[in-house]
Amino acid sequence: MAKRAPVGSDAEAGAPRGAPASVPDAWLVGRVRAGDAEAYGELVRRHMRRAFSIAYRILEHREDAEDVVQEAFVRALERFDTLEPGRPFAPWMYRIVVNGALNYRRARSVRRTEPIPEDTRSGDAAPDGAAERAELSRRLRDAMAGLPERQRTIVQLAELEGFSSAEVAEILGLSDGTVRWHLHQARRTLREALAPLLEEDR
Amino acid sequence: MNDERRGPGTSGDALRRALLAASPEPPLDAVDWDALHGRVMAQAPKILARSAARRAWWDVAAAWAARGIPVTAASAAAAAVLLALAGAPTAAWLAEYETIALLPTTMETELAADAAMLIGNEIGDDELAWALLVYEGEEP
Repeated sequence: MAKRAPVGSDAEAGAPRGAPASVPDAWLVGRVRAGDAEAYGELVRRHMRRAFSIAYRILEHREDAEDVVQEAFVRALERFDTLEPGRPFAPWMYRIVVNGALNYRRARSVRRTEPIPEDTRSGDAAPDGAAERAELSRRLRDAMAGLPERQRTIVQLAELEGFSSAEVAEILGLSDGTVRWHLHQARRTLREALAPLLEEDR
Repeated sequence: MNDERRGPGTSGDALRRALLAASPEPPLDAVDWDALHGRVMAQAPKILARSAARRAWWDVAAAWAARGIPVTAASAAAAAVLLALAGAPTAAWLAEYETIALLPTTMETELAADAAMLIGNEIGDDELAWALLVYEGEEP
């Protein structure tokens, strides 16, 4: 997994142009409050990739994730005055993305009945052999699907997106302790589901 | 702290690797970032204009409130002072008040005296009726 910039940082990977990374998010936020659309454009540029990544982890569908990200950035601008002065932009933005993705998935689960496409990624850490990999993926997907929504989201943000428990807590509006507890519970559940395969992997 | 901090080869690390292997990587290269950015920013001017209009309305309201509250407070204070000064009783007013205040007492005393005289004289029904008519101003 690629090393991620901290959730509140201004130096998100993949800001192709616009204001230099040395210009802090807080300054851009101030400009947006004054009605500067260009400043918001720069914030979008800085955070849209990470926002997409988060939405994709939850939705596992590119177009859906793009729709959610687009809607999230529009909603964020509409509700910009709810971003408290002094609070970092990124966790606030990612919370809107997470909530949007979760709502989208709930709506989609009503609309769609076909299963989520199987994983096509070949993990180098997976057990040797396509059959074992497929079995591991299937068990893991089943175990993840069986987790309560909150625990599943925490696992996706912490284990897959690489956020620390404190960052997850800030994004989800929970206490750090609550996030750690959910993470512990989720890991235990997943380990139990995968125990035989993980033993072979060691 | 938690499982995140475990070393390589532990079950926490294996679990993470298994999760990553089982989860499709976000297809960052497949997204048209300029188009996505453009779709968001196409709506930005309208939203910012609405926000500015809302802010302008609040600014006007706040400006009026900023001026209105001291003016109202000053007016209230001035009115209280004027009422206090205008309401102070003068000597002439006090004299008139005392005269008026004494009137009911005088009338009650006179009526009581008349009643006592009538009862004391054991007047008849005709006399009582006549007295009532006189009292009510309908003297025949």
